[in-house]
Amino acid sequence: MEPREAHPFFETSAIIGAVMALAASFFLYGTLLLFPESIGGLLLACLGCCGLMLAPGLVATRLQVKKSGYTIELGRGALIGFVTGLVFAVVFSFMDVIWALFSINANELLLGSLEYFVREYGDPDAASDMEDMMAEAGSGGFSIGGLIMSSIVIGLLNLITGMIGTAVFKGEETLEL
Amino acid sequence: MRSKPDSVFYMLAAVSGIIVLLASGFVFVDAPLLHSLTREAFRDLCHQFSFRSFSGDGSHMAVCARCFGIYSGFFASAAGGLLVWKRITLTLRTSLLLTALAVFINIADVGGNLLGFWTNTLGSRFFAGLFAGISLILIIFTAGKHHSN
Repeated sequence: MEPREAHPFFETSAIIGAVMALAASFFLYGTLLLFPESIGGLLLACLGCCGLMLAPGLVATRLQVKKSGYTIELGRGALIGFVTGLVFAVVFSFMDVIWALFSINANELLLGSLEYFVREYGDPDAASDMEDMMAEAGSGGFSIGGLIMSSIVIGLLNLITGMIGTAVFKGEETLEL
Repeated sequence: MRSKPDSVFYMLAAVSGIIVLLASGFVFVDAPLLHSLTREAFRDLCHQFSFRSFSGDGSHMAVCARCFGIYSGFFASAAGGLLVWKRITLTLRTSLLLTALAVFINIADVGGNLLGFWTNTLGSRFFAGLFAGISLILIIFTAGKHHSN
């Protein structure tokens, strides 16, 4: 038990999840604000944000291995990834509220950029699709159900990336559960 | 090498199965609340364009065909890996190379379509995603096979 207590992971995982959520939110919406009508900006923002959304599990396991020096078991990597992903999802959703304080509707900003992309892309099916999505975004708001579902999905995906991180990053010794 | 898979691999198969189910948006049942909740769940992970998603009974999945392919790949690989556990001889290096190849195929598929070299289809997006999902789970299997007992 001693090595586990010497290197607690909940705090580290929570901090990594929160910091990466802040980074993802600033990266996504910052890029869209800086380059509002640019396909390059939209692609960069979406790819960067998706990357940052799946990276917490990898980063958290990497830091845990580095800090402890042990190769961690897959189950522990999964737990680290799940906790990090959960915290990430909650903070990322909370950031939408912070953006709203500055009169920035994060959802509309993203959909506005997607609409520009669709207009430029010139797909007729996409135009009507975008109208539906904009109407849906206008009628909907923050929902607890949505937050819970989103947290579960991002948590589960980071559980998998946490396991991948465990497989890729190895310490000098093996810590058995 | 372990002769039997750890319980964590059964959990991996279950988790990836749940993700596939959620990503499907439950289009096979008439439940509007489930449709909207699952769409909300994947809102930050996928563009969710309906013309790029599989549909059933008039409603569309919560994610696009490529994302659904990735999640299906997770499940196919996790469940398939359990069935052929003893035959898995992949090394970490090989599985990382496969993942790099899968990423390259997806970038080429998206890039070629954007630049007008070809028009990709729901099927091509799904299979490109499927390959990526499978290769990612194979990385985990290499660790499970080679961890000390």
